[in-house]
Amino acid sequence: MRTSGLRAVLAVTVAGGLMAGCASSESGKSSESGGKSDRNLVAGASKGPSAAPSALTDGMGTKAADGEFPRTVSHFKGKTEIAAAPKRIAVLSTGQLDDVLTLGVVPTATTRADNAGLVPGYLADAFPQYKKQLAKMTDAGTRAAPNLETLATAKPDLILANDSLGDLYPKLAKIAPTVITAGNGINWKRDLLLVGDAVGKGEQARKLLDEHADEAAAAGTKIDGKNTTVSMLRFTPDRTRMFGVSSFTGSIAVDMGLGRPKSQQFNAISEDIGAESIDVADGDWIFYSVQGAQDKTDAGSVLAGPLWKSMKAVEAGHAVKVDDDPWYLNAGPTAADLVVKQLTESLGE
Amino acid sequence: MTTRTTTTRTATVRTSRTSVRAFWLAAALLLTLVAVALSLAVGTRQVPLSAVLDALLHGGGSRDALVVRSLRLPRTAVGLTAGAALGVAGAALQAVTRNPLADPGILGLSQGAAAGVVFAITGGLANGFGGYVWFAFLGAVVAACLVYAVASRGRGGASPVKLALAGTALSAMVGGATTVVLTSSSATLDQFRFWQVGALSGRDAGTVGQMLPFLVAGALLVLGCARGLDALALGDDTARALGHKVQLVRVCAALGATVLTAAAVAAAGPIAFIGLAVPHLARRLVAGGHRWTLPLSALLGAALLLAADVAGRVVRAPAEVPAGVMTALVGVPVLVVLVRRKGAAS
Amino acid sequence: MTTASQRPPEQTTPPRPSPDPTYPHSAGLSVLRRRSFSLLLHRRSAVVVAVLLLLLAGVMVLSASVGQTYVSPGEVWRVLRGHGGPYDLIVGELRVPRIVLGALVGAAYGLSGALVQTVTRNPLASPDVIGVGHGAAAATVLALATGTVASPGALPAVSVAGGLGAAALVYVLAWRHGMQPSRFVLTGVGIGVALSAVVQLYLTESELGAAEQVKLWLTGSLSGRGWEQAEPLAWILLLSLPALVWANRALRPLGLDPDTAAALGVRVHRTQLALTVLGVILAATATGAAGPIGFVALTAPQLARRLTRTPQLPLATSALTGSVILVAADLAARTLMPPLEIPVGALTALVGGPYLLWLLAGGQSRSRAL
Repeated sequence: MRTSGLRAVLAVTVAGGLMAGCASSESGKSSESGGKSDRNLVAGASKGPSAAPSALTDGMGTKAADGEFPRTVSHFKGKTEIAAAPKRIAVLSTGQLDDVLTLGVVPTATTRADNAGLVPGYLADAFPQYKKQLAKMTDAGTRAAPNLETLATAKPDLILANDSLGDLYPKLAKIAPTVITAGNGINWKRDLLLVGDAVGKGEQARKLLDEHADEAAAAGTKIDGKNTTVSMLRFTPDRTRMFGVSSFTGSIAVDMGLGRPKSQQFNAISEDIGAESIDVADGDWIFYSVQGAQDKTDAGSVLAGPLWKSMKAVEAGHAVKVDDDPWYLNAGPTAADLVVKQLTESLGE
Repeated sequence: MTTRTTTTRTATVRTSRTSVRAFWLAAALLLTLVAVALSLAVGTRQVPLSAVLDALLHGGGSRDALVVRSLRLPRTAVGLTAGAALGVAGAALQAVTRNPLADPGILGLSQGAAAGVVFAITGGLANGFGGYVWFAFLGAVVAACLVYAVASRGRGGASPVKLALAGTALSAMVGGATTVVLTSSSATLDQFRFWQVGALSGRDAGTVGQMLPFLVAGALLVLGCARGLDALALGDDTARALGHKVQLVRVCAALGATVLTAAAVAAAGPIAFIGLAVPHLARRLVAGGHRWTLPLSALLGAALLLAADVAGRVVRAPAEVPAGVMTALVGVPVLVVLVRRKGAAS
Repeated sequence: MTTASQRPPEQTTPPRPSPDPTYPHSAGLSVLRRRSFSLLLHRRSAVVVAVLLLLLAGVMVLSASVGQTYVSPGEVWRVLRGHGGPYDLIVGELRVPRIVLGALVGAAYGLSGALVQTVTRNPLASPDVIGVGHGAAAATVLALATGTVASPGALPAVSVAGGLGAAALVYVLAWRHGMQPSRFVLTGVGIGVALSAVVQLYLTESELGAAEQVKLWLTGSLSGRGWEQAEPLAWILLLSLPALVWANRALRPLGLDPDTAAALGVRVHRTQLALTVLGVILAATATGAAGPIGFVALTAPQLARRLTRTPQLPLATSALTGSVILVAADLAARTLMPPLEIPVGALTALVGGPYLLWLLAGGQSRSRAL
C-alpha cells in the first residue's frame, strides 16, 4: 500500500541522510580540541588555530639523559622499557625516518608510503653519507599495513610507529620494544622529542627544535614575513585541500611569523576545496604540491584553468610548485628546514 | 451513427492523450533547463543568473565569468549528456530484460566499464576520455554478455534477483581484482581514484565533443528499436507474431544501452541509479510507447544528474560531494519502494 | 459407479508393501546405539566431516610453516607445545593466532551462509548480500567520524552492531505481508549500495591517514590480528552451539516450500526469523573480528553440500569448508606478493565472484527457480 511504501522511503531517506550527515560533518572539520580519539587536533591545545606544540605532554618521554640506558619511555600506548642503546631500529610511520636520520641514526627497516620509494628523495639528497646503509634497509611493507613477519625477521631492537598503527601495538611490542608517537603533521615537534627519547638522544632532539625555532624566526624577520600571506595547497588525485595554521607547514609558517590568508585560519589540519572555489585559497604567495602525475589528475585541469590564472599570486608569478614529500608527506626536522629554506628563498626575492 | 461517434470519441481521446504526453515532454524539457540554469549558477560560489547570462553571451574576465565558462559550462554539458545517456540506457535495459529493476549499475555494466578503464590505466594504454571510452565499452560489453548469459540460464530465466546478483558478483569481482592490481601498482591508483569518484568536476569541454558520437550512435540504436521494445513487453511470442524480430531487437537495444553506458561511465565515472529511477517516472507520466518514454527518460535523466551534482556542490561547500554518491543516496529509497511493489521482485 | 462402501470388502485396502530390510543402511544412514541413546548419522557426511577436519589441520600446519621464513612442521609443533625456540615469535605470536582466527572466521561465515541460504531458499543469498558487511562498514565509519573510536579495529562491537542493524533494516523494509526471499535479497543489494555510498562519502572527506586505514579495514584482512579478535568470536560460536544443534533439525522442513512446511506443523515465520537472526549474528561477529570478507559465506555451504550430497545444506560441513577456504586464502594473501600483503577479502572476491557467476548460470543441478 502507498502508506507503507511511503514510510519505507521516509525511513531509508532519514536514516541515510542522518548517516551521511554524520559522516561528513565530523570528519575533517573537527573544531573542538581535546577529544581523546580526535587525531586532527592537538591534545590539550587552546581553542583556535594553534601551532605545533613543542613540548611533550606531562609524563611522556623519559627522564634519562642522552645515552643513559636502560630507560623507560612513556608514550601514547603505555610505557616501554628499553634495555640498551638501540642499534637495529625499525621505523614504520611517516616522519620518523626523517627524525632518526636527523638524529644521526640509520634504521634497519622501514615502510613505504603508497606510490613512493622506500626513502623519500629529499632525505636521500640531505644524507648522502648514509646512502649505502639506506640501500640495505629491509622493506617492511606499506605504512598502512606493515608486514609483521618481515619486520620480525629483520630482528629489530626498537620499533617506532605512530598512533595510526595503534591497533598493532600488542603485536609490535612482542616483536621488539615499541614506542608509539602521536602522528599527524601538527605533532611533529613532540614526536621528534619522543623519538629522541626512545633512541637515547632526547637532549639532542630538544636542541634541534630550538635551533629550528631560532632559524625560522630569524628568517622570518629577514623577509618581513608578517606582512605577507602565504597559502598552502595540495593537489591529490581526487581532492584538493588547503592547509591551515595547525598543520605541519602551518606551524613552520607560525615559527617564521608569516601571515596566512583568512581562508586558511581554521582549526582543522586541512580543508577540502572544489575546483570552482580555488580562488578562496588566494594569498600573496601560494605554495602548492601535486601528488602523482599532474596531467593525469585533477591538478592538471585546475592549474591550466583560467580561474587559477586569475588569482593574485599566480598573476604576480608568486605561485611556487614544491616537492610533495618534505612539505606535506613527511613531517620531520630535515623537511622543516627544507621548507624554511624554500620559503626564505622564494619570499626573499 | 454510433460508429461515427465512437470514431470521433476515439480520435478525441487519442489527440488528448498525445497532447498530455506532449505536455509532459515539454515540462521535462523545462525542468532540464532549470537544472542547467541551477548547475551554472549554484555551487560552492553563487553566481546570480544575470551574471551567468552575461558571462555566456558577452564574455568577460571576472572570476565569476571564468568559473561559469571554463568550469561550469563543460561540467553541465557532461552532466547533461551523461545523465541523458544513463536514462535512456536504463529504459532500454528495463525493456530488454522485462525487469523493472534493471539499471546499468545494478546489472554490472558500469562496473564492467570501470574494469575496462582500470585495465586501460594499468596497462598505460589510455589517458583521458578519448582513450578510456573504448576500453569502457569493451568492458561493458563483456559484462553485459556475462551477466545476461549467466542469469538467463537455469530455471526461471533472467529474473530480477538473478540479474541483480550477477551484477553484484561482477562488481565484487571487479573490486577484488582492482584491489589486487592496485596493491601492487600504486602509480595507477592515483589516476584510477581520480576517475572512480564518479564526479563531474575536472571534465573539460573536449570531453563532450568526444562523447557525442557515442551518444548519437547509442541513441539511434535504441530509438530505432522503440517499437520493437513495445512489442517485447507483450512477451516474446506475441512480439514475434506481430512481426518483430525479437532477437534482433534485443541485441540492438542492449548494444545501444551498452554504448550509452560506456560513454557515460568513461566520461563521468560509475554513477548508479539514474537508469533505474528515471524510466519508471517516465512511464508513469507518459503511459505510452517507447517513442515517448525514451526521450522523456533522456530529459529526466539529465535533470536528475545535474540536480545531484548541484546538491553535491552545495551540501559540503567549499568541498564537493561527487555526484555518484548523491545519486546512490537518493536512488536507494526509490529501489526499496520499487521492490516492495507487488510483483516487482518476481 | 461404485462408491467405496459398495466395493467388496477385500478390495478396500491395498496390500501393504513389505518394509525394506536394507533401510536405513541403503539410504546412507547409520544408527549409533549406546545403551538407551541412539543417533541417526548420515554416513557420507560423517566421513566428509572427518576428512575436512584432517584437511583443516593440514592447511593450518602448512600455513604455520610457510611464509617468508620456512619453519618445518616439527618446529611448529615444538612452538605449539610451548617449548619456545627461535621461531616462537614468528610462528607462535604472528602466524598461529592469525591462522586460528582465520579458521574461526571461516567457520562463522560458513555457518551463517548455510543458515541464510536455507531460510531464503536461495543459494545465492548470503549475509554479504543482505547488507551485513556494508552495515558493519558504515557503522565503523560513522564511529570514526564522530570520534567514538580511534581506529576501525578498536571496537569490534561497533561493526557487529552495524551489521545487525543493516540486516534488520533490510528485513523490515522487505517485509510486506510476509517475507518473500527474492524481495529480501533485492532490498539487501540496494541497501548495501546506499551504505557503501555513505562509506565513500566519509572516505572522500577524511584525512589521508584515516582514509587509508579505513580502506584497508574495508577489504577485510587478517594481518596483525590474533587472539584478541578470536576470543569474542570463539565465545559466540560456543554459545551458539545449542542453537546450531536445534537449527540442524529446524532447517530440514524449511527446505520445502512454506505451505508444505506449515502443513507439517512448522512455525515457518518464527523459525525463519530465528535462523536468520542466528546467521546474521554469526556473520556480524565475524565481520567485527576481521572486517568484511565476502564470498566465504556464499561458497562454503554450496561446496559442502556437493561434498556430502545431502538435500539440505549441512551445518558442520559448511563451517569446516569455510574454515579451510579462509585459512587457505589467507596463506595465499600472505605469500603471493611479498612483502606486500594482499587483503584476504580481495582474494576471496576474485575467486568467489566467478564461482557465483557459475552458480547463477545453473552450474548446479538442483537449482530452484529464483
